[in-house]
Amino acid sequence: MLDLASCERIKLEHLDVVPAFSCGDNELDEYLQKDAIHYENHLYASTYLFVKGNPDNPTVKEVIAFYSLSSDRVRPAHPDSKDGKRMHEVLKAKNLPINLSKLGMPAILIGRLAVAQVYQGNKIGTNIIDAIVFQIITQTFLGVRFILVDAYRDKIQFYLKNNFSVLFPNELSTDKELIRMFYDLLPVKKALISKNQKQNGTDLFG
Amino acid sequence: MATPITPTRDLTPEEWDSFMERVEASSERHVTNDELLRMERAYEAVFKVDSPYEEKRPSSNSHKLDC
Repeated sequence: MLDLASCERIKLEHLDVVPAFSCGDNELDEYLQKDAIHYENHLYASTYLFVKGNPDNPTVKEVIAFYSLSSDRVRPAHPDSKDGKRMHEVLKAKNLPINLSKLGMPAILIGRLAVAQVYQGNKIGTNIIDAIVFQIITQTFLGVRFILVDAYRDKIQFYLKNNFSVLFPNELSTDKELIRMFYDLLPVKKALISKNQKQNGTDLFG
Repeated sequence: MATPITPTRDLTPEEWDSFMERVEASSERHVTNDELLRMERAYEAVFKVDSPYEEKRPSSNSHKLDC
């Protein structure tokens, strides 16, 4: 289905097509219809829409899915805080770079991802995640170790199946609606390097 | 206004410890060539571009997804 749609970064012209979007979750619909353009214009999050034209009437377009990306990082408590000082000792004891406690590990946050109700059940969400993973690994000019996502509780299984893990397991026993999950990009990077190096007779990770 | 998108909060030492242990385990995950190919095909189909790592496939049906 996505091969029939074009991927477009949200702009004012899209405000005509987003009101018809419905994924079955009011929060996500509302985000796309009201907030996404403001996040985009203030550079807080970039939203990408999959827009499909109607073959019978090219002027009629519909959004079949969307996602929003922001930069993020996974970082221990501030180094000057009480927790940060304890962290410094933990990192030192484990012989890990101390600057991890200041910089953290770079990440990209999928703040929202939704598929229109009529198109659900077509692996569109999985295809979008696969595409984002491959894009970050091969095209992004920044170092990014993790993809993070805010998953609704009923979507946790979907993300687990797509190799995400829960970032804060203790939050599962709270009433938090959104559960932050992470995907480690390193195994994909290793596999890609290994595949290409093997073709050239060497293996950087081997 | 929908629930705002917020950056990840800093992890406590216990959370960081547990996170690093799980990352160490996850970094050993074996990604198969089939998985790589699936991602590559999704990338090509979703963004309508050719993969920079594309293996030259016989028929260029690469912008088609199995869905």
